[in-house]
Amino acid sequence: MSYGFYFDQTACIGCRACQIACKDKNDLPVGPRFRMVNTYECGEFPKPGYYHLSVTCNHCDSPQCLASCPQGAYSKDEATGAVIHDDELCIGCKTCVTACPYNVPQFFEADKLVKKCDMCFDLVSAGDRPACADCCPMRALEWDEIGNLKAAHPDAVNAIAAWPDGGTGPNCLMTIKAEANEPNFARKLI
Amino acid sequence: MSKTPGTNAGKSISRRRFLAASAAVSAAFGLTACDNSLEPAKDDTEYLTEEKWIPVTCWVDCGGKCPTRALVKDGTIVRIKGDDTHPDSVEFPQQRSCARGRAQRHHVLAADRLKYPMKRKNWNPGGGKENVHPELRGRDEWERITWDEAIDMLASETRRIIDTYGNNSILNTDSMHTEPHNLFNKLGGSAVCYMTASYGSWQNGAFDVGSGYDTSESCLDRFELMKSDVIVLWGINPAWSSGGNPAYILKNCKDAGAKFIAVDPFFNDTYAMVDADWMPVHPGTDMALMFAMIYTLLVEDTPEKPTIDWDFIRRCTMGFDEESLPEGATENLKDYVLGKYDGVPKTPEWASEICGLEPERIVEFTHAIGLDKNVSLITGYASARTFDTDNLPQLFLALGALTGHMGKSGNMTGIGNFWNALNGGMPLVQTGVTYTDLFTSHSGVFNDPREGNPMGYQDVIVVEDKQLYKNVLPNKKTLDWGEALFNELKPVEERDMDCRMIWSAFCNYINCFPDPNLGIKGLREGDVECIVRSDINFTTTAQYADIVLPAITPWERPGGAAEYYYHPRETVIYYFQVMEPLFEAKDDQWIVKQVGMKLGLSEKDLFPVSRKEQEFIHLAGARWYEPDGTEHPLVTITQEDIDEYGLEELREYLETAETVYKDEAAGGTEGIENVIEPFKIETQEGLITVAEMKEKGFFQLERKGADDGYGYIPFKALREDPEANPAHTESGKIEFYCKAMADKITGMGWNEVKPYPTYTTPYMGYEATFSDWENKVKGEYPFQVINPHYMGRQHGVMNTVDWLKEAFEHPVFISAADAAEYGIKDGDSVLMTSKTGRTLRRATVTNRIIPGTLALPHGAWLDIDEETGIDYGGHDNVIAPSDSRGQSVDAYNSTMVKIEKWSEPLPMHVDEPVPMAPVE
Repeated sequence: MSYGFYFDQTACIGCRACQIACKDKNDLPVGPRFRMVNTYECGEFPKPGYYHLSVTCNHCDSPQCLASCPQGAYSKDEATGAVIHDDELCIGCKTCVTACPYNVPQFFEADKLVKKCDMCFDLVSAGDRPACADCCPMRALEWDEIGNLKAAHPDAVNAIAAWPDGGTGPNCLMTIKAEANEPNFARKLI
Repeated sequence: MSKTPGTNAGKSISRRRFLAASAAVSAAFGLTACDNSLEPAKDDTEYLTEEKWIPVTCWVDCGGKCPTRALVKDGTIVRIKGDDTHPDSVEFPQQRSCARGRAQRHHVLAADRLKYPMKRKNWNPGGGKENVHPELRGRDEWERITWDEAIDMLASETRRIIDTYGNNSILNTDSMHTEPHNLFNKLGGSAVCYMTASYGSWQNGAFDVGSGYDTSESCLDRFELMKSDVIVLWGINPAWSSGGNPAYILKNCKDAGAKFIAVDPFFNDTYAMVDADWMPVHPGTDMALMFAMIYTLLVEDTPEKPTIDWDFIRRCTMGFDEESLPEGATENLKDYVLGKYDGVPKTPEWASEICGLEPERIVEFTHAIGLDKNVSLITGYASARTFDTDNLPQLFLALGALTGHMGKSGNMTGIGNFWNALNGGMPLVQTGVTYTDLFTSHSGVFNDPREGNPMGYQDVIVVEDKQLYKNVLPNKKTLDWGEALFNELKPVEERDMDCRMIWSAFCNYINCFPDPNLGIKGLREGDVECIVRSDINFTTTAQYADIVLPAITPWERPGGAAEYYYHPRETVIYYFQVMEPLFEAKDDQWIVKQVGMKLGLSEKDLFPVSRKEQEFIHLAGARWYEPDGTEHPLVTITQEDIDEYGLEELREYLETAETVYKDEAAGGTEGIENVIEPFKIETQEGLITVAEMKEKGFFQLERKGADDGYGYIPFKALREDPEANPAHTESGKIEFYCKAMADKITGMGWNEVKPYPTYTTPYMGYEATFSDWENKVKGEYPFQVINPHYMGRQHGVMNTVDWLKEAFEHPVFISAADAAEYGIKDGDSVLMTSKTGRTLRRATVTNRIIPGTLALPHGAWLDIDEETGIDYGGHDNVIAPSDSRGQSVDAYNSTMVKIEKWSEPLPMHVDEPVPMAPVE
């Protein structure tokens, strides 16, 4: 089974509730973000293109973090497809940070360790759902078995200009705004 | 460089340290916990079933409140979650909070919490410059004092100042009734503060005309809104200003097929989500656009193909044209628009030069909201937070009335934000009133702040916010707003006022009132002898006080209702205690009780019922309403509940409540009867038990759809039968010629306001940015600045929460065209200079803003460098004007600046210093 996340960009208002719900659940300091919301702009006044992207680990079918780790700190959970990082085995070499085409693994300066989204493995194992899955005030996020998500959102894609396909079999789906495919875009801090 | 004394950005109290702090309130443990070597908490979360979720709530002032729950484990709070009490659907949505509600753990458990009472080192009680050293406010060192010392000082200063200078020399800056009101009212009263704040000109420009000025009264309920074909969002951004479900309501409308049009200088996150057709306009020029739209309607209107809802205009409104003018009136809106009085027809071409929207777009926009469609014209208050917009609400209503978008299903014209955002209609459930309300009457911002004040309405001075700063300067005069505001046709009166004490427990006034430089000058040069601030963080207002008191958050005491009014109409929200007070923080009720007892009052004079028993009042007093308005108890109360709460104090209080009621009634107070009379300590059947409420934290009445009896359409009754259901105006109709409003606002004494809308070139508006309007030559201050409410905090609250600062950069937004002209790129430092102050901010260059306008998000804390006078906080009000015009609107969006690229690099928002209380 492969579980993954679906993101409806056409519903997102960029409020970062999901990013902070994730920070809260994982008790993250400033800096590392397991779920991250970024904002992008393209086009010209008075017809600007503008969109947000809420993403986290894609829990890929062929995770490069797992393949590249010299410590064998990564594993893939059979029941959920979650790519799990064992912080105890990590030596903080950041090989995975470079290997991941999505820049998902996050380096923690204070601990000199890498950590990443584990799909809230503790919650999911106890029959609950990831902290970000049901927090969105706009109902723009879903978490489910990837086949179910594909069936529910047949037009969804797994890449946009700001989040190109890494070729790793990412288990993410997005319904996107038209401008999200514009090649000329810039990330904007809001 | 920044003057901010300490910094602990990015750090919070770790769980283990917090455990030590909250398990014991002793100073010894507190000291351990406030050690400066705080480290980010280790991730030791484990999913354990024995943990307990306790309902809490967000308390920021966005107009809504969202229920959240805190996971308590081993006596500490490890996580927040939202509503999962029932499956989510459009009809019965979960109440999901925004980023701010999710970030609350880092607000409550932050290292920048105030920990101990403290006073300025060079301030001493007794008055006189030699004791007060007012010149050191905001510059002095601080020293820790004991609560006993603090209470002694507060009591002796209060007594001395009342005895020497009188009750009006004490000013409570909180326009809403807060704990200090209870104290001062028992001591003979105090001066009070009032402001238009976020409501802009809607505060006094809508009611007399015949409309509501808030969402409850003037917005469709959410199911009716979903019937709109076209939704015009005119200066409103729930994505930032009304977190939680309100923006989701607009998504529901989009999914139902509505098309959106946005009128704004800034293409905001809400507009982007609904794919709105953006009509960019310069700030403060909205009225010009509305006039041109009305002109377009008038010239295109024919009997065969009408563009105007003449039936509604004739039956339900008054004063639009000559035919319906009241006796004695000679001018009307229609003929003004056609140019009969000034020779200037208000054509799209005329408006285009002012507002910046092309003439053909104005015509296109007018057609898009035509009679043939179901249209909702929704505005926030932003366009009216500008000078000379006293008639803007009236004109907006006229546009909606003419186009037929009033009083019909799927149509509306009015306000859609703040409380009950985008979900109008009266509450379907209501909490029992909060105890402060119960004692002092309801505390809503539209209520007269003089209520319950023993000085009597004539004698209490009502200080307008902008006059506060002028007042504390040594001229000893202020303008009393009270009668002008609440007893119309009485002019604003100049009164002698010798302000000697300022006590604030709520409004972060130095931060939130325009022109803090003037305020700081007043506090340093004037005769104010004692400034008291209770707070949870070292806010701007605390930094400029003399005595600072650490207050608890609602997490640290027995709970109750989130707010009487501020909740979605279908939902009441309760919170319960999750932890002991941190360090030496105290409840504001406790603080005023201690001071009162020193001054000879009894505890029961101030708050006769404990917090625990107040919690019972909130629960037992809650009501739900049938569609016809019949009310029923909401919460089931059993004998066991009554026994558990004890309620000895409440019983004793209710025995004397009759007397209280009579006293209040003699003062003319409304509402007490409704509050006290039905309240009985007895068992009752409701829809939810106390135990369930303590588990869920809220009750939400389930809606079924627009036809479930709870639907709401503003002006529906008026449209159906204006004789039987008149508007609340003198004529019983919506007044497009409104003498009452004009007399009231003109009577305040600043400038003449006409009974009908006209275009006067606004003070500090777009035109004022030019030195030569004819040739379009820009002047000394070529930029307009708007300050949107911001998701990164709400007003000044949560400004130092690290997770929010990381998520929201608090930049100044500048158009790509202007940035190119000044050589400014993303992240460059920009200095903004107005006639009142200077502030610095990193730039975000964008195509989402009309050139010539900057957007500086509202609410960051002031951080003035004493050497240069430059604010490093990106504070919006330091550059905002404090002039008074019309109804004395707080014209935050009439700010004008010049800009320059600043060579000094500025840190990212998250790396900016956090003001830490210097006493540990």
